[in-house]
Amino acid sequence: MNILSVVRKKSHKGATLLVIMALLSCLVMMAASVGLNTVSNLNQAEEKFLMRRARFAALGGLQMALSQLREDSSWPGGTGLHELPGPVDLPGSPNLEYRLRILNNVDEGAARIPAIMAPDGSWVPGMAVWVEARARIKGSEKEFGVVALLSRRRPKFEHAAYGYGPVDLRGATLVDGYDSSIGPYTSSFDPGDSTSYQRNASVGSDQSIAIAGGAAVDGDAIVSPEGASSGTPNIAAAGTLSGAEIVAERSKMDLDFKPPSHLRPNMTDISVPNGGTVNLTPGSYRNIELHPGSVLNFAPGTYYVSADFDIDGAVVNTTTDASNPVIIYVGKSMNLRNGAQVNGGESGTPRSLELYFTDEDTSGGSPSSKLRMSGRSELTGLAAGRFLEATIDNSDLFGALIAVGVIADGPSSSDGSRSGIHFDTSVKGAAMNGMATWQMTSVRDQHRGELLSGTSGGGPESPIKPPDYIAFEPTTGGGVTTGGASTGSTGGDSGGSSLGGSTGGDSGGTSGTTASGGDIGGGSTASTDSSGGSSGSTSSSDSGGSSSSGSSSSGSSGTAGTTDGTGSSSGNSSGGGLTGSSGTGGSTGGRGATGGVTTTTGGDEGSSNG
Amino acid sequence: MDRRVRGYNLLETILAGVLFSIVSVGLIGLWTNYARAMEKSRHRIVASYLAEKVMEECLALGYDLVDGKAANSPVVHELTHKYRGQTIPTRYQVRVGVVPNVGGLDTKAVKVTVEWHDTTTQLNSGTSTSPFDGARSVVLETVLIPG
Repeated sequence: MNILSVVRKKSHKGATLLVIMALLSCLVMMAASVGLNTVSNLNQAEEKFLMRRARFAALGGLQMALSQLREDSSWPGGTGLHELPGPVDLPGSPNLEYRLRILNNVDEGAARIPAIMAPDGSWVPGMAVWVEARARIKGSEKEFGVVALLSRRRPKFEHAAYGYGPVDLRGATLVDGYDSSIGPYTSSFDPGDSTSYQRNASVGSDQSIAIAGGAAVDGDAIVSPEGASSGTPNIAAAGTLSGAEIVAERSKMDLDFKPPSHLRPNMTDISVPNGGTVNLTPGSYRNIELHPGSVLNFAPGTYYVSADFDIDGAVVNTTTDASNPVIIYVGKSMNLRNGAQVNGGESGTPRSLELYFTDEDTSGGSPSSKLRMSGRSELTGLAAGRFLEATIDNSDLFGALIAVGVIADGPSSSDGSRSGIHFDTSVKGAAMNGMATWQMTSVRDQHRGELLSGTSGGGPESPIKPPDYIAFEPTTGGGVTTGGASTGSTGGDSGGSSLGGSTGGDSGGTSGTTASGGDIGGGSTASTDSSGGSSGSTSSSDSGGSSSSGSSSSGSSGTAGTTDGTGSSSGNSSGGGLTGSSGTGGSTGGRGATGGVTTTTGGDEGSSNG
Repeated sequence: MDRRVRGYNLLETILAGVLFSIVSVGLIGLWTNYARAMEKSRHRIVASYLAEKVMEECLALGYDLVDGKAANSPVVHELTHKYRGQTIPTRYQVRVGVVPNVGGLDTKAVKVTVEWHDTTTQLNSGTSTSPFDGARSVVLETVLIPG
């Protein structure tokens, strides 16, 4: 036996066991590896699911924030960054909780709002709100965050008339266009003469367009794909259509309008008797009723008529300054009849009057509002409503119209009694001042920066500072206001307003301003007053008109709104529209603390229907 | 070869065999558990994807139309997969619940629940009118507001 064979024999001892143990070790290691991998997979799956739950909870938190903001644009406490106390339970889900951070960059009384930077480095434009919602399952450390930019869309008028539902042009209805920035409306469109066609007044619908035999449209008829079958637009054009029949994408103009949050509904009614005149100031009212021969003058600013606006053979004047328009939110209906004329007829400026219907009539079981024109009435302005039913019967609308349904009917053209929708082409494509309800512009996953919905505006990948938001009109609240923007170079002024009585506008402009008291019309049926917000911050000469309120039985009292002069070029006013239960006229005036000369025109007359 | 060496080889072989058997049995058991856990995990992943899909649909429908989704639930989806050459069906029941006016605001709380059984025998056993009693489930919740 040589040495090699001895070694070989010795090495056999325990070799089988060693081999088996080595094999088993490998198997155990493999099993452990697979086991760890499995556990890891299970944990990952579980974690993903938990994050999924937290994500939807965070989105729910955003919805809650949006809901609060719709209630009050200044929520949760004005401009600036707010970290809300929390976490709070997600409603209906006690196992989930969320917390919010809000950066509110909204100041509805400011003329100019610069963009500001959010904590995540994104820019928040003026009139927008940045919201961060972080949610988790109770007991879990893992949070999921989403960031949203909220804003209020503004309407654009692209067509003479647009209907979310059918547009029905009957009788001798004429739809044509003109440019109010060049001059007043003149009728140059002759359906029988193709050389007169300008094709600048289109009509659009999401459903159907009917142009009856006597009707004429100087432009295109456009329906969205919903209003077309097999690519053929649902358009019945028995009358004249100077343009084409087109199928185009939906306008996406369907905005639910809501008045600014400082304009709360109140119980102030205004009734102007035959031949009476009322000067109205920005603020909130319930019903406005104008009797034949009466005149209602709107000062520039924003109004909220929460119920009905009835104009029977009366005249409504606004402003000739299209850059400082009258904006009226109408809750239920606006009715023009018997030759009513609103905003100057064909020589008026459509841009100086914007009417937004807030669809608060729920008598039919669903939200709606109505615009009715009849008896050779004229409305010069822009009107829009998500569920607005517009009927133009033997009347003319100069401007543009957006509604759920449009019916225009002129009985005949032989005697010149025809209905007309005369599109002001100067408004085409411009964003107007109406405020829709708050919407989410964009929603972003905070962890990955992934855009979950909306446009990229305001996201971290948008390092460019947006331009300032410039409001068209700085006035907020109610109150008769003069001076202010127009006269106050060093001091604003303001005063209250009155109905059924009068008020003086206390003023405090150092250079002297003139405040006109509230004129009165038919008194008021209300006995409450409202006060708006105040504004003004750098006043060098505040006005003295603090608020006094109360219902008045004679016209001499009334309510003055709170006032703060503003020190710069614009005087903001606030205060409520006012009350007086049965005004008899009379006036009071006030002087500003620094001696601005005040001239007061008292109420002309009152009535006793308060 | 001497007797000591022969005896040692026998003992070694027996010991190795016993050890191998014990470890193998343990590993097979462990493997089975892994497979079962993976199968459960797979069901859970499928269910959570299904829940997410339905929840996204609810978000797309929005406040006004989500009630229709709830009215049409529960919906049962049958999905199949191959396991050891066999086609195994698994049924997932999707329920959408909507509770209005939660939190004192004009809101709707939306809850999507997906239920399933890990084994087909559980699902198919008996004649219960509610075959998903005692089933495993995943739940997603959120809140919707109008507009």
